[in-house]
Amino acid sequence: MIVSVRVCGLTRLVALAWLAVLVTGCGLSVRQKAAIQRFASSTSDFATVTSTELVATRRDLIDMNTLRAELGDEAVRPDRVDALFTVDRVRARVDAVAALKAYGELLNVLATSSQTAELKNAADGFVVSLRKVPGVGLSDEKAGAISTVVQAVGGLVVEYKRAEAVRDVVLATNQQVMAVVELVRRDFDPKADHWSLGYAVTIEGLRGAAALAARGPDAAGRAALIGRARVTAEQNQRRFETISGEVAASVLALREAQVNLRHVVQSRDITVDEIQSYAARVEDFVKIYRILRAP
Amino acid sequence: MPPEATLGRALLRTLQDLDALIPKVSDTQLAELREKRAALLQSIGDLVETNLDKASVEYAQATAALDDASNRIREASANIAKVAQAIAMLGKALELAAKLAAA
Repeated sequence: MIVSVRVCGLTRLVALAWLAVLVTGCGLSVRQKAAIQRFASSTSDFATVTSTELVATRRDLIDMNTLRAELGDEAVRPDRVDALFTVDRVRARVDAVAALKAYGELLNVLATSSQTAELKNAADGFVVSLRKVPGVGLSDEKAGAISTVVQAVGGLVVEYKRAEAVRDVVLATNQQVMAVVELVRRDFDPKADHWSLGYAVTIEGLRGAAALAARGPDAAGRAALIGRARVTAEQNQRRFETISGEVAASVLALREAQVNLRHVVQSRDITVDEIQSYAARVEDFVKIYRILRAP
Repeated sequence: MPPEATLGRALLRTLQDLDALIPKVSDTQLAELREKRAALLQSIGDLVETNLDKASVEYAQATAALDDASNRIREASANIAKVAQAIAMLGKALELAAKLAAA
């Protein structure tokens, strides 16, 4: 069979192989890959910022409860200054967004990684082996051509397998991604009774503690502490409101982008507007977040 | 207060109203207010803790599902890498077959 390669003419074989690569079109298009890369990268950024904020809000909460204790707020238990945002509760959330980040990064690698070097090495190795077969006399030029053909056909197989895998993964993982996104949205929802309420009630606890301390007999001597408590409460509230709004907007964009992504991996003709909007939204969020949480 | 406010948000609003009264009430009323404030903080805290713990279970389930998805991606990436391995193995097989045929 291999000997017939020589008989048929390498030029024709090379042309046929390249034609197969071009015509089959079974891999992901450049646009599809770019859309997946954009989605995956933005999801990774979103997960990083969300995770950082979850940890930061726990630190805020401990600081605020410590201030409340210093102000004499009896509602704070000194042994539970991290009440509400315990390590276990933070960890459950951080683990989930870390899993979302890992998913995004792996999806990116799956969609865009190059097998060029591996395929070239394999194709060159194939030709070296072929030259050792008795009766197969190959010039350097012909050996190079065969290597190119093998590499091209291998590339076609790789792209086919890659496209198939990306489609399978994106379609099968839709529900899980949406589940994490919905949980994050609910935690940061300023109208829900979850993470944001825990933060809000701690801020209000600090405000109340400052107000009570201001009526105490030693209020004048504690004016600086009372002032710091009030400023901390205001700053934390303003920052959390902004970040919550950014999370909500990013979650909304992520949902639409996820729907878009499902279509993108199934059709070459689809637009990627939602993914572009999502990426832009997350970029804004990251910038704003860096400003708000700058040390 | 909007009618659609949740229990927790309604309780928080009441707490905010109580705190706003702190500078205005008499010392006698202040003692009563302190008690109500502590009870409200406790109620809201209990509610939040219950909700967060329930959600933590949901987060853990979602984490496990996403980890499975990531493992599927790793397997898919490994399968793609096998194409190059298969080409190399094919060459070796041809070489070996030729040696056997010549022997």
